[in-house]
Amino acid sequence: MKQEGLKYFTHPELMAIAFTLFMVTFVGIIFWTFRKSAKKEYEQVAQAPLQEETLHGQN
Amino acid sequence: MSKNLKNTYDDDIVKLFIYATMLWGGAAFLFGVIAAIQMAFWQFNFNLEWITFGRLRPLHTNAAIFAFAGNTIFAGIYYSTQRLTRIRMWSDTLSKIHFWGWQLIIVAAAITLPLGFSQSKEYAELEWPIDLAIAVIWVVFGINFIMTLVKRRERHMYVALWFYISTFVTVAVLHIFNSIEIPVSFLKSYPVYAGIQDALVQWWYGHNAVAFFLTTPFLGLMYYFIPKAVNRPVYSYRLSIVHFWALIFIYIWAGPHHLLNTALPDWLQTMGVIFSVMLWAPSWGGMINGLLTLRGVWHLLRTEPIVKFFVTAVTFYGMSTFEGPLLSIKSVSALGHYTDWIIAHVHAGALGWNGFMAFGMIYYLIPRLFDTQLFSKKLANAHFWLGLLGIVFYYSSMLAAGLTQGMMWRAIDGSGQLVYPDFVETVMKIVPLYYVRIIGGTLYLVGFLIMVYNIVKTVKASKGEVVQVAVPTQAYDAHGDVGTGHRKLEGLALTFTVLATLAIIVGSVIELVPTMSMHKYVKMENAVEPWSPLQLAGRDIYIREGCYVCHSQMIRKMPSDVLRFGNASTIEHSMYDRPFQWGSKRTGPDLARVGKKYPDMWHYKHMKNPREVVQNSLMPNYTWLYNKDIDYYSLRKKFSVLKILGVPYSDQQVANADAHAESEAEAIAEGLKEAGVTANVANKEILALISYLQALGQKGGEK
Repeated sequence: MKQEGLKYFTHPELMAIAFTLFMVTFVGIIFWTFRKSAKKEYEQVAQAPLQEETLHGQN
Repeated sequence: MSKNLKNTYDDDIVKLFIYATMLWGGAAFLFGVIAAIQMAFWQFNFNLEWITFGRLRPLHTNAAIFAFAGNTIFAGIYYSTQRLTRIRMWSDTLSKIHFWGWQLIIVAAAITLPLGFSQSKEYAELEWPIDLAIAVIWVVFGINFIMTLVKRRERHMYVALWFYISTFVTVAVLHIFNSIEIPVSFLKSYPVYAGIQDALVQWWYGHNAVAFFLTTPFLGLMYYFIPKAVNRPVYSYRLSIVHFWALIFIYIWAGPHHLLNTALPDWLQTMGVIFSVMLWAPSWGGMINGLLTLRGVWHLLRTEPIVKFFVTAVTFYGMSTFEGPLLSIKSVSALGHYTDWIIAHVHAGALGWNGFMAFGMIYYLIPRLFDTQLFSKKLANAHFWLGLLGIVFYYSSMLAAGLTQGMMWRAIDGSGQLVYPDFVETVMKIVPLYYVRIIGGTLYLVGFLIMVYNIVKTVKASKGEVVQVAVPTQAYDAHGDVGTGHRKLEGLALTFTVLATLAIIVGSVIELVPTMSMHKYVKMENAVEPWSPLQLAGRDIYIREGCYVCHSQMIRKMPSDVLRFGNASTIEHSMYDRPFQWGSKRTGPDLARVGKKYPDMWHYKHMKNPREVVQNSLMPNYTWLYNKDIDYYSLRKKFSVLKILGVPYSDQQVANADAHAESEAEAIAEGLKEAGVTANVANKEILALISYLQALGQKGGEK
C-alpha cells in the first residue's frame, strides 16, 4: 500500500514536512498538557461535575 | 467582583427529551426486529410496499440514530450543560422550539421514508424540505447552547462541554455540505455532486455522523455521568485534553475507508486507512479514561445497575473502536465490506455503546428528576442482562455470517474459477444465522420494554412535580484567576469553538477540495452516455424502493469481484449518477453490469416473484410495480435540472423527455408481449425499472 501511495504522490518532501508537523504538534501537546506544574490546576477542574451538589444542595 | 445570583435549572426540557428517547427508541428497535425477520422470511413485508426492507431499513437507521440517540444526546446535554455552567439554559423558548421541532422532523421522516421519498444517501435519506428543517432546528439548538456557555457562571468549561461544542459545529458543517441539492419537486431533489464526488462527500458525512453524532456527544455524556454515578473525578483530566483534540482532528479524515478497493483514487483510500488506524490511539485513550474513573470503586459494578450499563457501554466503545480501524485496513475491508460483519460492527456500537449509555443515563436521571427511588433495581438488572445477551447473540451471529459469506465470495479454486459462482448459494448458507439475529434483537427489545415499564412505575410513584429550590451561584470574576495553558482556553468559549472548528475543517478541506475538480479524475474519452428518459424514471424507482440497501453498483478491483461481476467499475461509470448508487451492503449481487445479462422477460418475472427465476432468493416481491403508472410528467423537469447540473442533454432532449420515455416504454412492453406476457403492462413502472436495469454497465465508460 505504501508503494501505491507513493506512486500517486510525487512530493515526498511534503510528506516528510507534514509528518514532522503532525508529530511535533502531537508530542508537544502531550508534554504541555502533562507538565508537572499544571497538575494541581487540572485536578481542581476535574472536580467540576462533582461540585454542583455542594453549590446547589440536592439535585 | 462577584455577586450572588439565584438560579434554577430547566429540568422539564430534560424530562421531555427522555420521554422522546424512550418512545423513539422503542420504534427504532421494533423496526429493527421487523427488518431482521424480513431478512430471514421474505414474506414478512406482507406485500406492503411501505414496510418492504428497502424502505424500512432507512426508517430503522434514522429512528435509531436521529430519534433514539438524538433525543438521548439532547436530554444529557440539557441536563449536564446547565449544571456544568451553573446557569439555566439561555432561552427556554429556544429549548422548546428545539424539542418540538426535532420531534416534528422525526414524524416527517417516519411519514416520508415509508412512502419512498428518499435521497438514498445513507443516514441522509430525508428529502430537501426536511433537510432545511434539520438545519434550522440544529442552529436553534446551537445558539441556545453556545449562548449558555457564553453566559455561564463557571469560568472553566469542563471536558464534557468541549465534546458537545465539537458535536454542534461538526454536525452543522457535515449536514449542510452533504445536503446541497436542487429540488425537482416538493419531495424530490438531485444532489449537486455526482458519482465519485457524491460518494466521497456522502461517506465523509456518513462516517462523521458516527463520529460526531454517535461518538463525541456520548463521550461528553461519559465524562459527565460516569463521575457522577461513581462519585469520583475522571481518571485523568489531562488525558481527556489529548483525547479530545486528537479524536476530533483525526476522525474527520477517516471517511474514505467506506470506499476501499473501489474506483476512488488510491491516495484518498490510503489516507482513509492511515487516519482510521490512527484512531485506535485516541479512542482507546478515551475508553481507558472512562473505565479507570472507577478506580477504587469497582465494587459498584456488582450492585449498581447504572454502573453496569455505563461500564459495559464504555467496554463496547473500546471493542467497536478496535474493530473499526481493523475493518479499515484495505485487506480486511476486502473481506468484510458488503457483508454482515459491518452490520455486526455497527450494532455492537449502537446497541452496546449508544444504547447502554442511554439506558444508564435514564436510570440515573429519572429518580433524580422526580426526587424518588427507582421502582425496581431487580428489573433494571434484568434489563441489563437481557440487553447484553441480545447484543452477544446479534454480534456473534452477524460476525459469523459476514466472515462465512466473505470467504465464500472470494473462494477461487486451482483453475481460477469461483468455488461458489451462484450468489444465492452464499446467501442460503447464512440464513440460519439470520434466525439467531432475530433472537438477539428480540431480547434487546424486551429488555428495553422492561426499562420503559420500570421508568413509568418510578414516575408514577413519585410525588409529582419536584419543587426546585433556587440556589445561589456566583457570577465569575472576569479579572480573577484565569489559569494557564489549556485551562485558560477553557475559559474562552468562542475561541474554543473556533479552534475546534479549525481542527475538523483541515481534514475536510484536504479530502474534499481536490475531488471537487472532477475533470482531474474523469477521462472524457471514456465518458458514458447519460441516462435516457425512461432509464432515469427507472433509476428514480430504484432509489425510491431502496434497492441500494441490498445491491451495490461498484465492482471492486479484486479478482473475486471481477470474476463474479465483470471488470472493475470505473469513475466514468457513475459520472452522471445523482445520487451515486455504489451501495454498502450486498445482500443480493452487485448490479453494476447486470444490463443485458438477462432478457427483459427474466426481470419481469424476477421483480414479480424472484423465486420464479432464482431458487431460494430472499428478495421480496415487488408486485406494486405492475400496477403503478410511470410518472412521465416530471421527466422534463428532471432533465432540465440535470442539464443545469452539467449533464450534456440537448434542449430538444429536455423538451421531448416525456414523449421519448413513452416510446421507450412501448418498445419494452411490445417485447414482453412477444415473450408471452398477457397482462396489460402499458406504462407500468416495471417497464421503467427494466429499462434502467438493462442499461447498467451498458453506457460505455470502459478504459
